This record gives sequence, C-alpha cells and structure tokens, in this order.
Amino acid sequence: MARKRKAGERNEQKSKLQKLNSEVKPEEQEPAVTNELTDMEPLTKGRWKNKQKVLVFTSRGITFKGRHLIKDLRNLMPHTKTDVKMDRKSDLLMVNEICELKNCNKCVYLVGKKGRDVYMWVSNVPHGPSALFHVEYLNMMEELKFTGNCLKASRPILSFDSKFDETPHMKLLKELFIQVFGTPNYHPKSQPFIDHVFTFSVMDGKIWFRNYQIVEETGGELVEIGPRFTMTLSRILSGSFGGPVLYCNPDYQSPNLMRHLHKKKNSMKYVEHKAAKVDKRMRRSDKTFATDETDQVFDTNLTAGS
Amino acid sequence: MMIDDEVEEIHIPHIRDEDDQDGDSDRELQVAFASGLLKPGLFRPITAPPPAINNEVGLLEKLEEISQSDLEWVERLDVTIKRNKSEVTEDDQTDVHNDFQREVSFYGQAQNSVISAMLRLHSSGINTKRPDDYFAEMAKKDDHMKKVGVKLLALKKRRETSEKNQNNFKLRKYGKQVQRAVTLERQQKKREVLSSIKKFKKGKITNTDFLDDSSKENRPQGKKLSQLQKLQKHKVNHKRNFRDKKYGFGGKKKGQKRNTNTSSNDVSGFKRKVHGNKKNVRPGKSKRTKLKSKR
Repeated sequence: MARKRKAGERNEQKSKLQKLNSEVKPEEQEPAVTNELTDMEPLTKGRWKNKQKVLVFTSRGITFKGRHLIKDLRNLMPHTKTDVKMDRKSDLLMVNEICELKNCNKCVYLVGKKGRDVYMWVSNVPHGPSALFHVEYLNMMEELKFTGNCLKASRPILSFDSKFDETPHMKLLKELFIQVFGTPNYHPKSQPFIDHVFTFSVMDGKIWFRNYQIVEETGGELVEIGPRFTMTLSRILSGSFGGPVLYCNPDYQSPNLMRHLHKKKNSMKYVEHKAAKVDKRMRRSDKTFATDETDQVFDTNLTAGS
Repeated sequence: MMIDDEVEEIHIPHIRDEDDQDGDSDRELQVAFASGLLKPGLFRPITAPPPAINNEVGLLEKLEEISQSDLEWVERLDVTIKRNKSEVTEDDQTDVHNDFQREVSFYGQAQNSVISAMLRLHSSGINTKRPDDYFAEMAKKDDHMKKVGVKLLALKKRRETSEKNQNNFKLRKYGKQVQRAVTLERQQKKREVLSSIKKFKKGKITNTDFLDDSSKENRPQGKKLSQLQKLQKHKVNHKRNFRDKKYGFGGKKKGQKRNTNTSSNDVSGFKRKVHGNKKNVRPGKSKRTKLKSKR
C-alpha cells in the first residue's frame, strides 16, 4: 500500500511538473505585452541631480492673502510639498521635524500674526541658514489684471538684481532663493520647457518678487502672470529656524511700529491744528491802528467836547 | 541710593518678542533685577534699538556651506543683471511710489535676463519652446483665462468709445470755429459794401466796381472757406438735382402748361416720318360714291 501510494505520488509530481512546464512554455515564446510600460525607464532617471524638495506651508491664523500666496507658489513650483497648518504656539523648531518627516530639505513657512501681518521664513532645513521676512503688497495670480499664463510645471528663469551681489547677506539670500524657488532640471513632475521668469529686485530696502510669462524669447516680450509680493528682511539666522543671528536688518521696522508711527503722525494733526489756533489768537493785537497818544494833545475840539 | 525728584535712566535689555509691545513684561523686569541693573527708586527704561548685527564672516561661511558649485548652470537657471536706471525718468532715481516707473524697471530687468538666459540656453543646444501640439495643464485654468479675455475686451471697447467721443468732440469744435469765421467774414463784406454804396451815393466814388468785386468776394474764400465748400460739395444730392432739372425749381406754377403764340407756332417737334404721309389713305366721300356708281 505504502509503495503504491509513493509511486502514485511520484507520478502525480511528474505530471504536475509537466503541466507547469507546458503552461510556462507558451508564455516564454510570446513577448509579454502587459509589461511594456513598466519596462520603460523614466526619462528623468539618472539625470535628476539637483534634488530640492521644498515644504510650503503656513501657520494658523494666516490671512486669506497668505493662504492664496501658498496656493500660487504650490501651483507654480512642482517640487513643493505641503502640510497642514501649524499651531502658532508650538515651537518653531517643530518645523524642522515636519520637514524631515516630509522628506524636504528646504522650507517656506508663512506665519500670520494679528490677523493681518504675514511673515515668511525661508530656510535650508537641516543645517541652516534661515531668513525671516515681512511680506507686504500681496497680489494674487487669480487677479484679472495679470493676463499672462504659463505651464503648470515648467521651469522658471530666476532673475536677480545686481544688488544681490554687493553684500554678503544678499549673496546668501540669492543662493537661498535659487535653491528654493528654482525648479530642478529633470524633476519628475516638471516639464522640459522654459516659459516664465521669477524676478527678484531690490528697491527701497525691500525685495520685490514678480513673475512674468515669456511671450517671445528673442525679443524678450513679457506678460505678467502673478503673484506679486515684497519681502522686507528682518534677520538671518545661521541655523534652521534657530541658532545665532548672522544678520539683523537695521532698517527693519516691525508692522506694529509702522502702525504706531502712522497713528502718532495722524494724531499730531489735531493737536497741531489746535495749537495753531491758540497761537493765532495770541498774536492778534487789541488795537486796530497803531496810533500815537501824543497826537491828541493839541486837539482843541476834543477838549471842548469833553 | 534713593532718588526722589530725579529719574535715573537705565538700559533694560530688549528680550521680549517684538509683537507684544504693550504693557510691562514681568520677565523682563525680573531679568533686569537679577542682573543687578534694577535698584529701588523710579526708573524709566530707555528703549534702545536692537544692535545691528552683520556677521560678514559667518554669512560668507554659510554661503560656502550651501553653495552648489558642482552643479551646472542649467540645473539652476539663475541670471544676475544690473537693473537699468529707468528710461521713464532721466535721473537715476526711480520713484518707488510711482507704480508705473517701478514696474517698468522690474520689467526691464526681467527682459534683459530673459534675453541673456535664452542666448545661453540656445547656444548650449537646449530647446525651450513648447511645440504647438504639446498640451499640458496650465497654471491658470481655461475658465480663468476666459474671464481675463472678457475683461481685456471690455477695456479695449471702453478705450475705443472714449477715443471716438473725443474725436467727435474735436470735430464739432472745429466746425463751430469755421462757422464763426464764415459769418464774421460775411458781416465784414456786407459792411464794406454798404459803406462803399454810401460813399457812391455821396459822390466820393464814381465807379461801381465794388459791386462786382463784392459779388466775387462773396464767394467763400480762404483755406477755411474752401474746406467748408468741400464739405458742402461732398453732400451733393444728385437725385434732387436731376428732378430740379426735369421739373423745374421754384417760380410760378400757374399757367405753365398753357399754349402761347410761340409754343403753337413751334413746329420743331414735327417729324415727317411720324406725322407725314400715311399709307392707307381713305378717299373722300364724293370719290367713294363715284366709285360705287361706276360699279
């Protein structure tokens, strides 16, 4: 019985192998059509060298304009990721951890304060440096005055003012901006065309950001796409969201101070007006004419009348 | 060390956050007290501006640390260009608060950098232009661009209408001016003719040339008048002219169709072919009866 069973098992095994072989053979002969797509290597493989990943997100309590700015930046930069809004009370160093979790090495973090002021941190994540800006004069891409358009994931040319080469802190900022705002070549989500230009100019102690569509390449005809904003540098830290201060802008005025000075200026208007009124009253003389009292000494009529 | 009247000024380090400037911060005072800066008495803190820090060495070190010197230019696509002093203002200063000047200077910078970057890209054999049959998602969606188009069209229309209105206004002004000049000239001529008639009556002038001259001169003269004439000439009603020629214009209408001596004697309308010899001439009554009797 036992022998028989074994023999039978052998036979079964043989037949199974035969079956498997017979099943496999026809597949080997015909080329597998379904594998064609997965076999093709991605175009960017091996060419994507500049691996920048930027985390773009905000704190809680950001204004609608800040929120739209984030939306626009995300729209224009394919190498960005985002995260949920961060609680403002939590430590800034938490941002570093979030970046690490999200596998990002650069960060643009917008902070909203007092329901109206927008600050922007631009940081190189693990080791710094990081810079804090006050963002003003925000105009969104959605506004109808910007008539240009560009591809969603094309790479921008980054245009810098020559003032970015004059001082060490501006040089550092330029390098930071190039790494953050430039879409890397052969990034998987990017497109291989260049049809817009990010412009960074320095004027009036602020950095002005503009985005133009390139309509004609040789003549350099441009149409603005948006967004627009200005950044006023507050300080540069050597670490990412911390560490010693490398540069502190002496001309920086916090928005609170600006508002305070503005209010004070306006309040003086009323006080000055009142003071001027009092002053005028004081200067007014009681006499209508400058008369000499001795003129009336020999007036006979006067004496007769009295 | 008590000070009653005088207030001692003392510097308390600036450690609080810049945003909560209102009210005293206890922590600040505590720190100041601990460091021995505060002593009993009246104090007024001097709010000194935070010291300006510019650690150039540190900045340059950091720059060295993060610079991507191993990458080619194509990977970064950055262009640094001297921003042109604005062409709008001839002096070097562009007014920051003048939107137009400011934007023009930014535009110039972008333009120059695009031209130089494109030259560099094309010379290294990189194509930048999107082919016409390449479709991809755009940064602004189609419905948004439609809105933009509608707005642009409305703007264009508004500009055109305003331009047209302005032109019309100018034309009207000019027409009025011409009209005034014509009436003034006519009045002048009339006055002259009348005065010369007076002189003639008094016997100061013997010849009556002024009447012919005036008739000649009455025709509109000069550049402005000739233009007016052109305008008038331009509006010739040919239909009216033809009908005037055909039916006559003005004058007495009664008895115009009656015969007169001259009209009845006029035989210019007689044509021999029409009105002359007739083919079948019926013989007279007497001839016809004679013919009958002969049968």
